[in-house]
Amino acid sequence: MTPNEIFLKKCIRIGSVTLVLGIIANFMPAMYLWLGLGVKPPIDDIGKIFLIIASTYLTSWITQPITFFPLLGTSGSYVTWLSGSGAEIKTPASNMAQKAVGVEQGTPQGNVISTIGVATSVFVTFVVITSFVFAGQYLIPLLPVFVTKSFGFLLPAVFAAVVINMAKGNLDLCAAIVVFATLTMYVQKHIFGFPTWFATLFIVLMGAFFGYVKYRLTMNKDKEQLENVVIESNVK
Amino acid sequence: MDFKAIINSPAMWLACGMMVMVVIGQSIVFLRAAFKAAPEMGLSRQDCFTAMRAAAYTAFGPALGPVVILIVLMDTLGAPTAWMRLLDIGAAHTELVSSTLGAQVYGVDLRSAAFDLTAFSYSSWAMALNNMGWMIVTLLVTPKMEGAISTLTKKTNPRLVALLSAGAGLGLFSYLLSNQLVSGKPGNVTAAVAAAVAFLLLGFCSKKFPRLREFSLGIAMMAGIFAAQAML
Repeated sequence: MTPNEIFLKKCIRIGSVTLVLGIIANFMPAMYLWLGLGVKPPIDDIGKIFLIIASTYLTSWITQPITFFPLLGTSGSYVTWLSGSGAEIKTPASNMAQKAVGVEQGTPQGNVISTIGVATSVFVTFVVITSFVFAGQYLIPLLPVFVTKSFGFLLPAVFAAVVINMAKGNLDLCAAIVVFATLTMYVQKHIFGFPTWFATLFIVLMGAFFGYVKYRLTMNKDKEQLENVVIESNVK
Repeated sequence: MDFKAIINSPAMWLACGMMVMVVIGQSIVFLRAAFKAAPEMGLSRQDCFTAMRAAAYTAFGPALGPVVILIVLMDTLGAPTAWMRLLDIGAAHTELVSSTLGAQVYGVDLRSAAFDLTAFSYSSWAMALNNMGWMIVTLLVTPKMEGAISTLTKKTNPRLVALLSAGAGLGLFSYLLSNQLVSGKPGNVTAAVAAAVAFLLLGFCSKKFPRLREFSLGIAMMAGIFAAQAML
């Protein structure tokens, strides 16, 4: 087994054990209310809650871990789907860690650096959120209004920077996909309200299709270049 | 004990703290495994610390994002639950939606005066059931994903797989970005354009000053949010 295979196997073991622990710990507050205080919804109502939640989020449960996988890798996926914020924190942290070290995503080195990046982002989030839980209510009023109001623009700013970072070497592909996604979402929001999960899946699949189109177009270009070289060498 | 005292009690902190311990424990174990594997992959300790620094600078800004919603969650569901749910799976707004859906099965609204301990237990179940969905799917699909991608790479042209994967990744983030752009919220487009331009400029500058790379996303993000706020 290569060092990378050993590392991946270890990641799967760590990830599986910690996710099972996470699933158990996730129910602890509800269990405390039930077993400690005797307060719980009747079983029928728990079924109803599950149905409502599943009908709202089932597609996200299935599509998100799969669509994010190429960006997060094995360890990144286990960390992200336990601690959340895949789009806003984990993917940017993984991306920038790899960029700072100069390793490619999907390579063995990329996997190790991505693991370090994603794990570090969990510690940072823990410190920030915990500090705010204890001190935030006193601190927030002290910050200038300009700063607290600007927090409202974090998501478009982060997503735009991540898109540019992911576009390296593929600026044409990036531009095409961003324009396509914006037009699709404009239609979805203002003209024809199809479900959001469908919009996500459609844009991701079309993104992959645009990647395929670029492959076909550049493949022909490569062939032409090769033929020109052959013709030139024959002429000579 | 009244409702607010129970949802902020030491026992509730303990019950919620278990998930936080699993989250932190998992990252410690992964970090140790990565540091151990690094030399075998030709990476130095210095590389590992550079990655940590870059990730920390990058994560700091977005980690501040949900602090406003945190205050709302703390006020409604108590500090321990808000703390746990912002550190585990499910974005802040997802937790708000699922806790609202749970309370509505009981027949009350999350922010209403009728939201009592029983309603809170409905919300707790709703958040737990929702988070379980992601964790179970991850548990089932992740071990097979690396193999699926490597089989795809072996059976097809690696350049094709790289472009398909780049296209899908760009598709996902373009969706997230465009959702913000078409939301109609004034300032969103300015924030995106300013952050994108700043990130491109920082990319050029970091060729001359490589240390800048670690800060580039954080700086670009601040340029975006401050530009949007200033233009309002």
